[in-house]
Amino acid sequence: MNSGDPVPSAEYLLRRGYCPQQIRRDGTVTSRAFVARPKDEGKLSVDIESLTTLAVSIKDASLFRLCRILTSDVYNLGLGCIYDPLADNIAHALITGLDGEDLEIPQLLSIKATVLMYPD
Amino acid sequence: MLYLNDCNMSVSPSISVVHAAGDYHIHQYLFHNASCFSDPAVIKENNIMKSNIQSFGELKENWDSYGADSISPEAIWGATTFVENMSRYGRKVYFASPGPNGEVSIELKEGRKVVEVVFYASGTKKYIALDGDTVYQKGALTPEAKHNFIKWLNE
Repeated sequence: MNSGDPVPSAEYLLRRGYCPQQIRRDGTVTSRAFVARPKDEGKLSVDIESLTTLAVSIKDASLFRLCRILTSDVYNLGLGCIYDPLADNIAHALITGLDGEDLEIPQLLSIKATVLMYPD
Repeated sequence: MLYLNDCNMSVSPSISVVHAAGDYHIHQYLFHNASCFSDPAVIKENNIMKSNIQSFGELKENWDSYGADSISPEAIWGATTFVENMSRYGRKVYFASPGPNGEVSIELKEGRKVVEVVFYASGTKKYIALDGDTVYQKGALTPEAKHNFIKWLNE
């Protein structure tokens, strides 16, 4: 996979959720973990799970939980997902096509996501 | 105790019911099928939620590791005021969450039905109502929208 290529549909993506403020008591994640900022120009950073480890992706297990979402679920919402490796993170990818103050897509992404019981 | 003005109801009650509940009474008035009452247990839980929301003000920039803004005082004020208002509707707030643009999100839940209300730093307030993953309504938060989604949650 080269930079800018679409991420294959079967890949799992990881996004950090701030815990406990973005992780509900029932172990689900809120929509706020899937909101882009205006300066992100509709792009949301994620890691491709097959190119990293949970330990690396979580950065700080005392602050975050990892939310896993299937790339095909992202595509089915009408969004894009491109590979965007960084110098310090070869697993980095971007979900594209988000609208900053839209409430629907972040909600649907959060519904599709699973919070991993890691490192618990 | 009733908080008629705080419920933003402009019509007279059509039905009045008094429920005995433990050592206190809930006076429930029905307005166009929406209810307005206070419940000490709801007020207590919502007050805990208000404290939780106020603690969002302690989050520093980049609290989410993706470059998030700190949470705006205006968003915190809007969200805590909304929680107080929900107490007067007898509606427990299910969850509150900070967002990367300095916003605060409030969730109401009833079975599969969820309403998310988001308070932005700009003062903008938006909501979305979902039944499972199906969107029921969304838009700007207005008194009419609030009345409608509370009625929908109560159905």
